[in-house]
Amino acid sequence: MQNLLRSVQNMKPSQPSQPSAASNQRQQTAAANPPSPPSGAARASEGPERAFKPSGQAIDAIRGQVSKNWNFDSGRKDANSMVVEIRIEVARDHQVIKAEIDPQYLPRYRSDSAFRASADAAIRAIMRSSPLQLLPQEFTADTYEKWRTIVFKFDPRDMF
Amino acid sequence: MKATKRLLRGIAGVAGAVLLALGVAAPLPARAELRIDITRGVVEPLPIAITSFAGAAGREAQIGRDMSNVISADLERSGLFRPLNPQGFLQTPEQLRSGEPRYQDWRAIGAQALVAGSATMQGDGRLKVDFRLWDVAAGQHMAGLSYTATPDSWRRIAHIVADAVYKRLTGEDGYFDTRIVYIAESGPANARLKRLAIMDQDGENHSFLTDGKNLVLTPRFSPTAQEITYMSFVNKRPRVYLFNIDSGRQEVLGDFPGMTFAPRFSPDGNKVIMSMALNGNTDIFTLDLRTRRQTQLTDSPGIDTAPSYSPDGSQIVFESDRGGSQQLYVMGADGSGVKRLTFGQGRYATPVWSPRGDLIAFTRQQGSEFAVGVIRPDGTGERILTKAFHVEGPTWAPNGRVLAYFKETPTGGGRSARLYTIDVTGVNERRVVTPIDASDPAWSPLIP
Repeated sequence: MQNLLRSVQNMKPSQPSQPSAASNQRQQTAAANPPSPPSGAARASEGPERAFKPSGQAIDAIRGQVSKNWNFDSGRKDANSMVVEIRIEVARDHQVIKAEIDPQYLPRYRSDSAFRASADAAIRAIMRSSPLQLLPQEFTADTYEKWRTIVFKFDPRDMF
Repeated sequence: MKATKRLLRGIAGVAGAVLLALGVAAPLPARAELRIDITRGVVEPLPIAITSFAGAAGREAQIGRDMSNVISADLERSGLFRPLNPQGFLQTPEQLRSGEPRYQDWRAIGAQALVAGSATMQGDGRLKVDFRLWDVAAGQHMAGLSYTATPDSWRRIAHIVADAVYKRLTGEDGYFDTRIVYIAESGPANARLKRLAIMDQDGENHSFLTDGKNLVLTPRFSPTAQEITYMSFVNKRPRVYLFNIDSGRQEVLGDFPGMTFAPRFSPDGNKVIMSMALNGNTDIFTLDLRTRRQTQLTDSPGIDTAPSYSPDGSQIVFESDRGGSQQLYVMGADGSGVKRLTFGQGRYATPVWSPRGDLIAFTRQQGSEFAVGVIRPDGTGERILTKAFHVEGPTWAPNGRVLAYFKETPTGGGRSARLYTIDVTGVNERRVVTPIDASDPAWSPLIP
């Protein structure tokens, strides 16, 4: 067996790992977006423009779609601490153009491999939900700028 | 108590009001932002496409095919992955080796991750294996590694590749490049032959380590996976032994006056902790493997046995009947601060601390029913993972995610013992195939 062990040589990576979708645009995000407001079930933050408040039915449709695509491993250690926020940009046709981790989570993303895997799963859930099921009577062309950016908070608290 | 709760609620309310006030004062985002909470997902195996590693022809073609099969089987058995049928793949392994994945083709067949690689024989007779992993949903490369080894170690490299895929996608270390030692049993109940046997975690590369002349029980791996400690009846005297897997050499551990049993290594490998029975009393001792010094850790009139260290070596869990029934207790590594851990119905036995530190696995006997379960080290969160006529002896995979144990079922004239694994969430129970009856498994660390 010793010979066998010696014979296996772990070489350096054949090519450097490229940054994942999560890390791709993190600098851009950090520079472009101010700190997030406190999270909530579904709301629009107050800004200079009037808040965009979709109906409960509209929110349920989006939540149902993303939840079905969020494959969360509840058996990992400290699974209940794997909370992450993903900021996405949606095109007018409801396709997801961009999905990135909120900057406040990036230090943990870089240092905690379990969190990194969990955050990547959240990004996958978003990408698999494209185009998003946005009710056309509420997510209209006129209000596009108000729903162009959506922040999803993935918090597995109801899975335990 | 109610008054305290009301007070806490009051404080929380004030804190909320303060935060709200700060929120108003804080800079406002330039654009309204819709926020949605997702609090529930699905728990299902990740669909993964694993393409053939097959080389041009001959041996490297065979090795490449076999490697893909081993990687696929490892990931599938974990219960966390669902390898897709290669017949549905739209892009060939050759196209992947020379270019990037066509993500839309992999999304079309439902893949969320993609593994490609190659196995090629080099001029010096060695085997070179490359692999790459992509996140299909996000359209990104995730990992890539290269290994060189002798061709006959292809199976081990396949396990290492499976571990790398598992780690990148779950964030936790894999457990495929590991082995299991266990007691292989044969013969009638009144003259049972018990031998030490060892195999890869998937049941391959099986071999017997002892000839069955002497009865052996409770094997446990050292942290280097090179040695095994166990109890054996030699000349009708039960004592703890040490077995070197490479050399086959066996030696008695320590010069104890009484019968020694239930051994287990300390996490640093410098000590073996075990029980010694003398004059009707059983206590827990350690033996320092460098100095051969013995230290007694417990001194109660009951039976203290089955000790297992916490992964940081600071605590020990063990079973004892000192309280009137057989229960689990935790103490410091020097024997101080003994606390009772379990208070449930039935008898608790064979505690094993998880390598990730968050749980302790145990066997519980309640009436005529046995169960394997887990409990947090603070005594909360007790959960039963599996129950059976006779199920016993849990052992952890080195990542603390999967347990192995043995299960006996009544047959026509006797009993049949088999090894099984189960996910720590209590799902995905799988049999580990052994050539003959099997009991008392011990999972190795990741092979260095």
